[in-house]
Parts: sequence; C-alpha cells; structure tokens
Amino acid sequence: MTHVDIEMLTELKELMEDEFKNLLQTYLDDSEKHVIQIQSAINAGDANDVRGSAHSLKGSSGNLGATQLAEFCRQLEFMGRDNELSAAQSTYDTMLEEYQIVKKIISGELMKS
Amino acid sequence: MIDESGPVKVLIADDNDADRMILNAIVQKQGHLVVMARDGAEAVDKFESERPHIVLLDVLMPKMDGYEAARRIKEIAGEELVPIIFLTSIKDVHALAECLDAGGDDFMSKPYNRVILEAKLKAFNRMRGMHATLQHQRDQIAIHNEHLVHEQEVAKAVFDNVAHLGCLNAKNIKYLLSPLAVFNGDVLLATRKPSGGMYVLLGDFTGHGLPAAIGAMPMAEIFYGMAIKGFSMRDILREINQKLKNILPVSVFCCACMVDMDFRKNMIKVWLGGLPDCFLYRAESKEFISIGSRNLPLGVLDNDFFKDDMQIFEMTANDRLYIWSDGIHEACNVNQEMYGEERLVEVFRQAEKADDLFDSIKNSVTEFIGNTERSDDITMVEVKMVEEEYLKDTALIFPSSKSDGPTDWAVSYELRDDTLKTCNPLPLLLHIIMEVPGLHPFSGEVYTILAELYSNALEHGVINLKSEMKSTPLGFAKYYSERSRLLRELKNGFVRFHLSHKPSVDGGNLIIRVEDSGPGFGYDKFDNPEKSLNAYCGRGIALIQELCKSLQFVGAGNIVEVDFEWKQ
Repeated sequence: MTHVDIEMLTELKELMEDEFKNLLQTYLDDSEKHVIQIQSAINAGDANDVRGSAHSLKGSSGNLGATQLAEFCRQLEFMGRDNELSAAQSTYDTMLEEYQIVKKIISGELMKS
Repeated sequence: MIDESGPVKVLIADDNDADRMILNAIVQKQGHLVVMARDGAEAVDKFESERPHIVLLDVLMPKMDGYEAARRIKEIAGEELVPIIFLTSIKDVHALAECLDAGGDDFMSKPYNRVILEAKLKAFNRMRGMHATLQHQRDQIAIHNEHLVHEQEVAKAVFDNVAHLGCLNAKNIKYLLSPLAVFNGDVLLATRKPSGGMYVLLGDFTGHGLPAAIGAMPMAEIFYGMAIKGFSMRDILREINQKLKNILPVSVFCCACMVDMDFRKNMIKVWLGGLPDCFLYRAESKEFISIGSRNLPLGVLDNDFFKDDMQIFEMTANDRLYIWSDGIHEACNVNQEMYGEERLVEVFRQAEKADDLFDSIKNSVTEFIGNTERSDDITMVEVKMVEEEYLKDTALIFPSSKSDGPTDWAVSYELRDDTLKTCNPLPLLLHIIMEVPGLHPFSGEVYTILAELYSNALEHGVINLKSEMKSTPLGFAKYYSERSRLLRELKNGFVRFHLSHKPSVDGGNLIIRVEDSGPGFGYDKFDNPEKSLNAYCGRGIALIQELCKSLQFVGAGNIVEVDFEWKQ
C-alpha cells in the first residue's frame, strides 16, 4: 500500500496551480498541530478533542492522497466519538509512524516544486 | 426570480485550512463566487451578510458544529431554497442521519472529487431555479385566487342585497339552498303579495360561476320590485323573460318555476319552464301528482312568443308543493349513477307523514350520494298551504311613505274589452292611491279590496260566471277554463273605477266605486254577511266588509261602492 497517492497529488497540483506550494505548507503546519493536539487530548482523556483533531487531520490527509493515514485518523475519530479511548494510544502510535512517512513525502514534494 | 445562469455564490465552511483551500480552488475554477468560514458560527454570520446560494458545510467544526449551523441557515433562508451539502464521509450512517435531520440536502466525502462536486453544484443550482419558479407561480396563483374569492364575495354581497331571502323564512316554507348557490346558477326567491298571498320562484341558470349569477340580479329585482306593487305572476314572468332575453347571451337562460299561492281561495297557480316536474302532495290522501313543464325556460323567447299559461290547482290546508332544480335528479353516487326521478317517486310513495317528507327527500339523496359536502349543490323548496293568519310574521312590509302628496282628489278609469282581456289595472290604481301621504301601511288592505272588487266585477259581472261552480275541484278547473274562453270572446264589456279620497284630521276616507257591464245580481243576501261567510263565493265580499267602514250595492247590483276609512 502506498503512503501517498501520487496521482491524486498530481491532480491537486494542476488544480491549485500557484497555490500548490502554499497548500502543502499549510498541510504540514496544520497536521503537525493536530498530531500534537491528539496526543495531549489522549493524555487528558478528552474524547471530544481526540475526535475533533483526528477528524480534521483525516480530512486533509485524505484530500492529499494519504489514504492510510486518513484511515488511522478515522479510527481515532470514532474512538473519540464513542468515548472509548482505551486503545487510542496504540492506534495513535501506529498513526504517528505513518504520519512521519507522509510528512517526508509531502516535504519532498514541497522541495521539488 | 433567480437567474440560474449567472454566477453562483458558494459558502465553504471548514475549519481545516488545507481542505478549504482545495474546495475554494475547485469551486472558483467552475466560475462560481466563494465565501469562506472557519467554523459554524462564522458560517451563520457569513450566510446572513453574504447570502450565498449554496452552502458546503463540514460536520465537525469548533464553536458551532455543522448540524447547528445548518439548522440556523435553513431558518434564516425561510422559503428560499438554499441547498446545504455536508462534507462528510458517507460511510458514517449515524452522521448521515443527523445531517438529514439538520436540513442537509446532500453529502460529499473527502477526498474531494472535482467532477462530482461540479455536478452537484449544477444540479442544485437548477433546483434552486425551479424552486424559485414554483414559488413565484404559487404566489401568483395565491394572488389570483385571493382576487377571485374577493370578487365573488363582493358579487355575493351585492347579490344578497338585491336577491335577499325575501320571505323564505316563512313558516310554510322549507328549503335547501347552498350559501353560494348563486354561483352554481340556482336562485330561490319568495315574497308575500300585497293581497296576502305569496310568490315563490326557483330558477336554475345555465352555467356556473359569475356568468350564471349575472342574470339572477335583474331577476330578483324584478321579482321583488313588481310583487310589492301588486303585479300579477303573468306580468312578473313576462318582465323577467324579456329582461333576461335582452341581456343574456344566447347560451345563458333560466329554467324556472314560479308559484302564486292564494291562502284565501286555497289555490295555486304554477308556471313551469324547463325544470323537472314539480310534485303536489295531498296530505290527507297521501297521493301526489306531478306537474310537468309546459314552457321553454325564461330568457329564450321574445315576449311575443313567450307562453305564460298557468296550471291552476286547488290545494287544501297542509297540502304541499315541491319544486327543485335538476340538482337532485342528477346527484351522483360514487359509481357515477344518478339519483333520478324514480328514487324520488319512491320516497313519496313511502311517505308516512307529510311533515317528514322534506327531510325524507333530503336524507334519501344525501344517503345516496354518500357525501354530505356535495349535497350543497341541491336546491329544493317545499311550500305548504296554510291559513293566511298563520303567516302574519312574514306579512309584506312596505317602504315608508312620503310626507306630502295628493290628499283630496278623484279619478275615473274605464277599462274596455281589449284591456280587460290582457291587462291587470291593479298596480296602476294602487300606485295612484299610494301617493296619498300616510296611506302606505294600508296598501295590503287597499290592494285586497281593489283585487276583490275587480275580480267580482270581471268574473261575476262582465262575463257573468257563477262562483258556485268553484265548490268542487272539477268545477274549479272548469271555472277557470270558462273564464279564459269568455274573456277571449268578450264584446262591449267594461269595468269603471271611480276613486276618490278625502283627508280627515288623522287619516282619510278612500271611496272606491266599481261599475261593470254585467246584468247585476241579487245583492240582498249580503245584508246578512254571517250567512254567506262560509260560502266559497262569498269570501271576497265578507273580507271587504271586514276591511271597510261601509259597502253598498247600487242599481241592479252591478255597481258597488266601499268606503275605506283609515287613521295614522
């Protein structure tokens, strides 16, 4: 399974034109924030915050073609929604691993353009 | 109106910056205008200030979530259709249900697909256009309808003033008439006559709506206007017929039945043109006869060809006459079968009590059609023969009289053959007499006296018929056919009226002298009015004696003079 759907990313590039770089940078800034927010929400046992941040990261990751990352975020979002955080930390760890890979790829793209 | 070809303003509400950027790019590429919001509260604010046409809403947002924002936006939008597309995964069934509850119209999941979003925006924009057209047309229809209802209300109010219910509330009348009957073309009029009798007229105009109602106005005005002046049924019918013929288009006319009820002589005259047969029900024997139409409807022929033949029937107290429009006969049940005359006849056959007959007919029809709403279209009237005294509540009320006018005068009026054959002099004479100030309240009495004296002079004087003939039902009919024949063949006949009025301090004396060309009769027997009171023939004279200060016969009995004394 690929970490980022390159075809989708190419399409996005066509769509966004000059704004493409800006979009990638915005994603990197936002996702960094969300990843930190999710961890602190898990620590605080705040299911609602887990849900909100995971939802947001899920959306933007999906849009950029990071399908696998989006799926881990979805799992976290649902845990938050169902107020069931017992497995959240382990899912978060998996998600974080995937996030690091995606981040590398996106950063690479940003350098290229 | 919405111009769906122009640019569409789209509100994008998403707290995620990257997602918003992508959506913005997609929507702008399609040539639409974009308004953006970062949370639900901002989305509602932006909606109020920018009035976008379509809204794209994320579900989970800070401050206010998408559901609440959607509810508020729909509330603000009111009747305008503002499609809301929720940005959510369609895999989450709970979320979908909640989106629908909040007023969402569609969903879109990430990652966004340009083609799908474009198709959705196009479709919703078209829907907005159709919705706006629909509402515009709905509003137009509502305005037109309101206008129409208003027009009908005004027309109805005018009609009610002209064609008031007359004496339909009289104790001897039962009727069915929809409150808006004038617009289905049915008219029911009834009035007392100056002589104490009663006219009832049921009309059924062709057509529906305002065209049907138009003819009803002059009809009612002529009916009430001429009746109060003492005109005969023949005169009234001819006047209505000519009026309708003149003013209505060829396709509009009026099937009608008019009845002249005489409560003193216990007889009725019926004119029937184009309506279903009337039924005359005998309370005593429980028999009934049907009276068929012999004439064309009103407003079809010119008066030169108009037939005003009356059918005359003797009617004893408690007998009833039933008149109806074809509404009963044509009332349909759920299977589109018509009620028809046979069922009506059956109700009459089964009738036990005359008093219940009206309700039996009504119930039978209502039961047949099985829907009480539609029974509104039925027009029917029952008129009962009663003692005149029984109807004193509904006696004719005359308009108040003028304060000055002739009080001291005399006039002579001689009617010769042609006039006697065709004309009724009573309205004219009554009109002259009623010019006397203060005399108006007595016009019923004066009319009765004139009418009795005139019919005595004409029938027992000029054509010399014997009133004893009328003492049997057979003779009754023969009497009236003889009367017509003798009048047709009349030669050198006359009736002379000599009227004079002298004022007194608080009223006056009206002297009426009537002379006829007949041979006179033995008037001695009226010296003892008690004896003749019960006789059929003597009724008129007895009545005049009651009303007048004096009554005397002069010469061979072909001259009679009465003194009507009145006080204010």
